[in-house]
Amino acid sequence: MDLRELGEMLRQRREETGLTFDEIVERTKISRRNLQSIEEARRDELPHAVYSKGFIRNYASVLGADMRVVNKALAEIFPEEEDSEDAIAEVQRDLRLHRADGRGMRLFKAGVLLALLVSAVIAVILMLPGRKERGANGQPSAAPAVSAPAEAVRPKGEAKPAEKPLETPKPAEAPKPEEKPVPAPAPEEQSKPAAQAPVQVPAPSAPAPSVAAAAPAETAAPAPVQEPAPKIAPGSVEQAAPALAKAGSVQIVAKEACWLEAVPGGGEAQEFFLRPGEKLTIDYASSLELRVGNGGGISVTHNGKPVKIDARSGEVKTLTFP
Amino acid sequence: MAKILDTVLGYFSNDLAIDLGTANTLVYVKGRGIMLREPSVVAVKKDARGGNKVLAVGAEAKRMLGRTPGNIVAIRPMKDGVIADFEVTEAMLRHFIAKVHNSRRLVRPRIIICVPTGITQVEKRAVKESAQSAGAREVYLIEEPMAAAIGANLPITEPTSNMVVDIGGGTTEVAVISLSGIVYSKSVRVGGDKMDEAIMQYVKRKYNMLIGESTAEQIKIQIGSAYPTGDNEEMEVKGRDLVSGIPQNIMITSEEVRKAISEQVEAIVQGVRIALEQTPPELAADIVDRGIVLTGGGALLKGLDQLLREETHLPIVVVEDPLSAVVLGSGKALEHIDLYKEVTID
Repeated sequence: MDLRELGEMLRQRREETGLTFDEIVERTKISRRNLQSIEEARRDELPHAVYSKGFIRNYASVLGADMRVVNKALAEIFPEEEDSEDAIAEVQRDLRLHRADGRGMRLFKAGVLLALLVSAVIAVILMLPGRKERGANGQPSAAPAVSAPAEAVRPKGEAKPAEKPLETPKPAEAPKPEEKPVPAPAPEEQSKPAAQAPVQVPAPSAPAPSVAAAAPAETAAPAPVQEPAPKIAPGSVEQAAPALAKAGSVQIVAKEACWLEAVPGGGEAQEFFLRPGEKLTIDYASSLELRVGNGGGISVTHNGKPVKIDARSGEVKTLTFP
Repeated sequence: MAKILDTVLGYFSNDLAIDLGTANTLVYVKGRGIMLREPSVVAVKKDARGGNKVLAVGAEAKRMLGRTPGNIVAIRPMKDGVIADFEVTEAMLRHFIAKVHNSRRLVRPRIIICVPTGITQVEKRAVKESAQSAGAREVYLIEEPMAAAIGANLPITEPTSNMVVDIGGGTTEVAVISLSGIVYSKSVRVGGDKMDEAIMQYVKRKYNMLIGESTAEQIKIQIGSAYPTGDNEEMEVKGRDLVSGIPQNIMITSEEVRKAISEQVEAIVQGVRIALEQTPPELAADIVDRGIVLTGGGALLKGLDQLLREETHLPIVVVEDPLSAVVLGSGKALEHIDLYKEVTID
């Protein structure tokens, strides 16, 4: 219903009840000019949306009109202020950033924390007196600390260059064979559930031995090279896996602002916030649980088929796929 | 060093806008919306050594109001829109900040807090410091009617006047806003709480019966009105007879409640009237055309808009979600802090 129809409806209603403009002005205190503008749908003569909405609502309630119809019409006539173009552009930019680093950001934050921790540990080790003599003891103790955060990208990269320059080439080679088994078993373990991702597995395992072979021959230099190789590989396996085993995809289009949380089967929960007009596609492997904060404000399609959501605006809903 | 640590921890925190109200506290998280809406009540337990321990905060603590044994006190740390109990307010803020951060420790968010207009420097400082000791990195203050106007989507940046009446639990704020600034503002220390007290007094005088604060609030919400609405509702009220000391029931009608709270309602109307008198003529002309916007929980009192309409002969508009207008407005200011920085006060 647009303003013209609403104005027409109110006029009819007023004529039915037999009230004159003066009586309505007396009861609502809305000026005659504004009342006429409402009935004749002269939008540019009406005051700002907040006031106009209030006037129409007051007027309708004096006439005893059905408030649900009026409220619905008002929501259409005066959409939320946030819908202005630059606001949307801004929100979209925010969302893009948010989505891009939704998972990456968390990893990155964890990485930064670990990097700080590790550098603190190293700083303490470096400051210990008589480091040279204790080199043999210090090395193994540092090694597990470094290799423990297997998924973190930064800590290792930083840890290695810090340790190496202090050591003469010979002691540096000594810890390396110790370290090698650490990254090496990881790809092997992954090759057992090879059925899942047969293509990727050879990739990480192949460069690892080759680097391992090269490492003893060279001095400190290869250390940083050796690190990134196995690390990038597990990362790529992890990211490719959900794409390979994709069983379905859910697309959500928001009509109103809506918060939602997606919990893929066996995975960790991810949160999103959609503004009106935003679109979000979530792929999942086995199952997906979707919690939405505003069930009435979104429309959902599952594998291209629309899903019916039985919820009012503002109602929290949990949807399970498939 | 402390600054660096703040920056690092701030990186892991979400910025917040808080409507620290006498009755309810609402928290808006940047980019997410209103995440928390709880009564401003804290239950404190005294342990054997005389130390205090926070037992419950928010809705849980409100259920304990007036129902506590000797060693537990349920406190409402805010009174008349300002902090009455510094430490308890701090504990409450800390709890709410942790709650919206999923109980993560070591968070240092930036916070915008709403305060009534015309509070003293001491009161402002109290709000700032309690937020800082509750873990805030930076604290901005914003005046409640300004936040309410932003939250109600009023065109505050235009050179036309907007009159906002925000009726909260402890204070009623009347303000005329134009060009992002407050032209006139007045804070009347009358609000929902005073009405509850008036209802308690009335029941005590007329029926010789004692009722609690929450019962009085229930009466106000269910059958309270400011203007005769036509239908006379009734409600059963439970309390203790003053003479016999025995718990009993009475029936109270909406007309009685209207009479009980008439003094407080009159004070609100008076505040609006004074504000209108003080408004410069050009701005007053705008107000005649557009009228007054009502926000805050008090706007939900039945018939209050009609009463103001009769008393001021101006159109009255109640915003859509009066309870959250203030926090939405401060949230908006938080999202665009560079844009709205000028509306914050220090």
